[in-house]
Amino acid sequence: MIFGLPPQKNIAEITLIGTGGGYGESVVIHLGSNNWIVIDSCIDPVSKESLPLIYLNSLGVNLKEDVKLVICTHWHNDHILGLSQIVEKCESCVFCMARPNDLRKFLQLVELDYRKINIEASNSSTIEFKKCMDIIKQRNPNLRKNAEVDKTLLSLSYSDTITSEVISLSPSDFTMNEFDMEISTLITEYGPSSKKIIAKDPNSKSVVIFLKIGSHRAILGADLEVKETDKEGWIHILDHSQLVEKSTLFKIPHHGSSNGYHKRIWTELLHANPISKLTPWNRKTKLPNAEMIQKYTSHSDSLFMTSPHMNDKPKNRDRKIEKIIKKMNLKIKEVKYARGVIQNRINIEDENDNWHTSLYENSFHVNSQIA
Amino acid sequence: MGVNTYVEKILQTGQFTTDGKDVLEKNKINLFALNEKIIRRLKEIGMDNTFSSHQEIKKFLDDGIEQDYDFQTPKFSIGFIDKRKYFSKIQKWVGHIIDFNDEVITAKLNDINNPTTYEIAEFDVDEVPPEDREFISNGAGFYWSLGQVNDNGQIEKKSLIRFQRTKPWEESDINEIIDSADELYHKLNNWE
Repeated sequence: MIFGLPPQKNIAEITLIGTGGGYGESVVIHLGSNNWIVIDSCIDPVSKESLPLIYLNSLGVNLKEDVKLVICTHWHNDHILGLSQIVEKCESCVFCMARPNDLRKFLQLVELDYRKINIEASNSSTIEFKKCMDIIKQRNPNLRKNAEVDKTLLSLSYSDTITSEVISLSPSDFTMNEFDMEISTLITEYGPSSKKIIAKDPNSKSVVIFLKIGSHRAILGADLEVKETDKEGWIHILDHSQLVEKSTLFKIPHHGSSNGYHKRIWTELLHANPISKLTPWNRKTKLPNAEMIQKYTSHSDSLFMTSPHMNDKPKNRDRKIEKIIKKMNLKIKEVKYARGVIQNRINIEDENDNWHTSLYENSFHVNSQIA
Repeated sequence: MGVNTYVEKILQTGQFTTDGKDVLEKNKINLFALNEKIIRRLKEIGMDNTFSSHQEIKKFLDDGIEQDYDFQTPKFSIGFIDKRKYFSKIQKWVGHIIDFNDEVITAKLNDINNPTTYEIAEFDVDEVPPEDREFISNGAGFYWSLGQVNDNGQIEKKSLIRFQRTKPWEESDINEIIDSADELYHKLNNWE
């Protein structure tokens, strides 16, 4: 097995899959008793396969029956690519996203962008989203859920006394109202068929997930940012969520960017010294930066990243072409792909158990690297 | 624009434009017939040795650029097409702008022949032909070919950037988009 043995029925699991470079991230969760959840998707840029699917297949998960919930946290390439492969294979899953208030207009935007596919001007995220919609429209309407503040998306009984819940903490109503206006603007401004649609701020619509697995708690921060107002973002969760509880595991939002950090998150939503993990962003801007790594390691002795930052280099290609690029002084650099998997498991039946971490491929323990 | 006017236009200006494509599509003109007209006119003006047959013109109109310049868009002028000029080594990308200022464009590139990991490029605005600079904006798509051009045995290094030119949405396109979205909406509206 590439990623270890499958978890037993009494073992919960939260696994973060990252790619480096910004190709994407995904979280795979086992709630016990063969009940699985997938949050977001990313692909191997060479094989185009969905990485969470590769992971689940390697553990021998029955995709058709055992994946109960698939969540699309937001409409961004690095969180959505390959999602349609998952939705297609996981036939009994509930598909969940933050449904725009004006769904009709949003679908018009999706169709508008999708029509650009022939000239390669469509956004990959739109194509993926459209594929997901085309699959779920054929399915039972009960298999769709809207993520919003303090909404229980899935509730399962492990035993008479132990339950698991998946709760969305965002996006806020304010954010979704703003999105409605943005959709109208996008349709107007990005009408020309040779332009890609560029959404203003997909991160603000991110769905943050709070997990209750028996007595264990975890928060998965997607890409949600801290805004100046309490109407949206992390401040809205901090000030208004009625369901969130202090957690022992945290998926750090937005690749450890400073705009996803607020001290209150670490003091009010998390227990001291939680397990914390993130995927890096490795383009022109490298995330997390040194300052943020210092902050996160001051909060957690157990900070894990799916891959280290890598230096950008040109692709290997025909020497004559390389010479031309050099001669013409063109700056062309490959965005490297580096898969890493951080797997955390815990005993659902043992309230005193702690998260056990297994690292695969490029993932690493950050604290020990900077000590 | 009628066929004759169109033929005159491409011979005068050397431009085979998207307007021309529209003419072909809208009037359902037989391309073969159009080629015959071009050949006849070429003979009249003494340029008949440019193409030896209507098949060759058709080949040029269909894929001459792709074959000779290995380049998808746009269609170059007739005058520019010279069988003695060809790319001997070529790297092709499709890209779109992710950032730009007065001097530098930053773009995300996908290798057309080997679409695996993508690349980020920074290049001077000067690399963009003057007639294409009006298209520079965030999200604008372009094709970029880089290679050696063999011009009568003379090897030159060439970089060709061309922005995508597409016709604006027509009413029928918009109606199709709305209909398709509405159909999806009715199937998805029941969303708990």
